[in-house]
Amino acid sequence: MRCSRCQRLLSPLREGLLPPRTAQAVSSHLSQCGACREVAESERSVVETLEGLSPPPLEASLRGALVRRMIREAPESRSRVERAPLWPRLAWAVAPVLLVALVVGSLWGGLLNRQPAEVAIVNVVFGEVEHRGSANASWRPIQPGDVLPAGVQVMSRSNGMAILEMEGGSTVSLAPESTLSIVDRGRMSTDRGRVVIRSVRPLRVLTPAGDLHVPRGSGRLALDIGEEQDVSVSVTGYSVAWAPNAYEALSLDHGLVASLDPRSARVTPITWDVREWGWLHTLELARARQMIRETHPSLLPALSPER
Amino acid sequence: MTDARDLKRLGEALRRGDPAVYAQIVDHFGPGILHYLFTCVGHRETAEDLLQDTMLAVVRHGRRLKHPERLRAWLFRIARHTALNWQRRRRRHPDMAASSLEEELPQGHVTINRARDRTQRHDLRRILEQALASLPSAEREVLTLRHFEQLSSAEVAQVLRVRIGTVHSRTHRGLKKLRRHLQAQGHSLENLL
Repeated sequence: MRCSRCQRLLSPLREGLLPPRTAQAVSSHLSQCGACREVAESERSVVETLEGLSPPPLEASLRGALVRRMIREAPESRSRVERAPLWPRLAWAVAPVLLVALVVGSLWGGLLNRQPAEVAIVNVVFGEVEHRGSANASWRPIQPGDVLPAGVQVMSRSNGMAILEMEGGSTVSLAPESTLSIVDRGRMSTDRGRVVIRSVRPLRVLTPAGDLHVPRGSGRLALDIGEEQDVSVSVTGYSVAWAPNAYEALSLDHGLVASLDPRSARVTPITWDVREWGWLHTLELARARQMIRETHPSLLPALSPER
Repeated sequence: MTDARDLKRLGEALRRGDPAVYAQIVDHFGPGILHYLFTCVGHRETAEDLLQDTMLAVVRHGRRLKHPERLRAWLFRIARHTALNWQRRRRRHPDMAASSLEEELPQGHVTINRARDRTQRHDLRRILEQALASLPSAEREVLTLRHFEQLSSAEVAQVLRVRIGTVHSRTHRGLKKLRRHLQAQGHSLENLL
């Protein structure tokens, strides 16, 4: 075998694509020819080096924008739009009913101001999350791409905490009237929970004790969690916010919502401020929890309301 | 994701129009496609725009995916078409502008997993990227797909629509030139590693 042919066959040889006899001939030539052996070794080094270079993950903002666009452009969404021409024919029939419903609804509590009735899940960032359409329905896992209609209940199953990326750029945001579980159902029998909400606009909050209205600018809400009670909090519109530049940990263990600054070792109840809503630093959040476990384990008990 | 069964499962979900698969496709293939587009156009922001165009084309044409097990090659082929269309629109020479690549490369786009420290990583990355940028586009494209994105030779052949023998010969020529370029610059891989 000539050297030029041997060197041309090095690439398919590395990939195992050569017929056995040809591979044998190349190997035999390599064992006898120092120059080709040097080329083969050098190529192998280049290839291994190149394969050791890997691109980093996409930036979160780019990734989120891509997935949202893809979900919005999905064939199913388009087919929904394509069915739109049916509406003009139905519009005249249902318009009077809708008009009455809207007027009555607005009198019953701001129906006209509500958010869009459904929202797509872009990603389940953290936790195992399930949803159901009604109290009697069975729980189903949430998958990226699911479209949640208004009124659906969302429940975190893993550790009392769930982070969802929603279409539209919010994290852990829920459609109107939806329910976010903040406490693991299996661990809340003897725990107490507390939620502090501050809002720049009036919010409607659903609690086990009934609906509470949080007025503008204040609205501290304390929930006492009793035995066997399903604790859930739902805020009209979006539910959970995170200050984008704060390096904090969110712990929902034992029903307490608290922030922990690992540098100052300060634990404070979380205040949700709708003015600071933005992209949740999901990785930061997960890393912060892990870091606290590794470097400040003594602080973890401080998150428990029993202390 | 290299498992053929996983690839096939993703491809089948895409063909069904299942939106749950989009996030997985972006996570598994987005970084590699972005890097490939970057080597094609030489501009980070343009590459990100083209990545978006690529992913939207994936959504639009997902149902036409004939061979789900060839999903990776199909994705890169769409990315390549997107880049070529962009180049046609810009009426640029089909060969890529090495100078623009070199301008952007020191800012860091690719990370290395194996090198021992940050300085070493940076140097090795810069040197290899610049060496790649010095190659003719046909050979750089093959080396990028074959060894950066780790497509098989058969997949590279599908992406480029050439015979597998052409892939091998371009790989051979590309590696040879890469080696010479590194030597001419006074680098040896043994020292770099």
